[in-house]
Amino acid sequence: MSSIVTNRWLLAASAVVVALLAALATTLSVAAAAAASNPPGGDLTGCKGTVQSFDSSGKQIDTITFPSAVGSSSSSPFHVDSGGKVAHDGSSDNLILNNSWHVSVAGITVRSGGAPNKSHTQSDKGTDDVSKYMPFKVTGLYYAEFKLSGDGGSCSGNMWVKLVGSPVGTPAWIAGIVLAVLGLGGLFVVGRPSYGDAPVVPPAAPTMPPDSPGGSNASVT
Amino acid sequence: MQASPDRLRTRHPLWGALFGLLLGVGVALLVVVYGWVPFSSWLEMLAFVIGITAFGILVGVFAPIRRPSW
Repeated sequence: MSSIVTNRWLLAASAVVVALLAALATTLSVAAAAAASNPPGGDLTGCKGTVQSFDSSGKQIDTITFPSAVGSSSSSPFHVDSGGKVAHDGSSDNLILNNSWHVSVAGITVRSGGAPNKSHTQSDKGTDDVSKYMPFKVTGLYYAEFKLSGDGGSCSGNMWVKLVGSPVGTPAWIAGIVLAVLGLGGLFVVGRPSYGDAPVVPPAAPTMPPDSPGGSNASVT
Repeated sequence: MQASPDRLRTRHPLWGALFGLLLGVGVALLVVVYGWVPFSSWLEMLAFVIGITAFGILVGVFAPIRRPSW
């Protein structure tokens, strides 16, 4: 009886999980299709400029100009290839000396630096490998922030970044699959309640027939 | 005398939490690398993992009992 109940419960739980995953996949695929067609958006204050992304072969993937007509939104990400490059060309509204800057992804600082800016320049141009911002190849959708501040002013901005490409085979994907399988398997094999040891039952007191010498305590009321 | 199974039930909230945590981290990683859910902060991801860990605890406490080996 117990195994029948367990099997039914497992079937019901599996059906719910599959239904939820199917609904999630459908919703997200529609959202992803919509996001793919949206122009990238972002917010930047205190400076302006253009950012372009290129894949590993040098082909341009995406471009965004600040100030952007579209605000920062997960449905309007800036597409980047984790094996490619990002080029920027911008200028600050004010002269910023003794500055420090950082780039954070999902609230975690991935790169930082600073400069005294002795040449008193207000513009900057350059190209960076995306791998400088990520310790290993990753894909997915991330919220990225930039901030530069110092004597004279500041420049800060944010946008959603979509690291394109298949996640299959990446370290995070492998770790995710392994942990999910271990967790799900362990949860249903070890984590569920089980039968414990039988409680120690004290031996029953010997009873004596009522007609035996001395009688029985059980018959006394 | 045979005790009822309810009296013998041993719950495993700690095992449930441990495997729920593993499941949560694994699913969170997959969700992130596929870009299914836009986490704007690692705190949101932490909340997601904690939610699945809580599910694991519930499984360890309230799920149907495993088939006995005896």
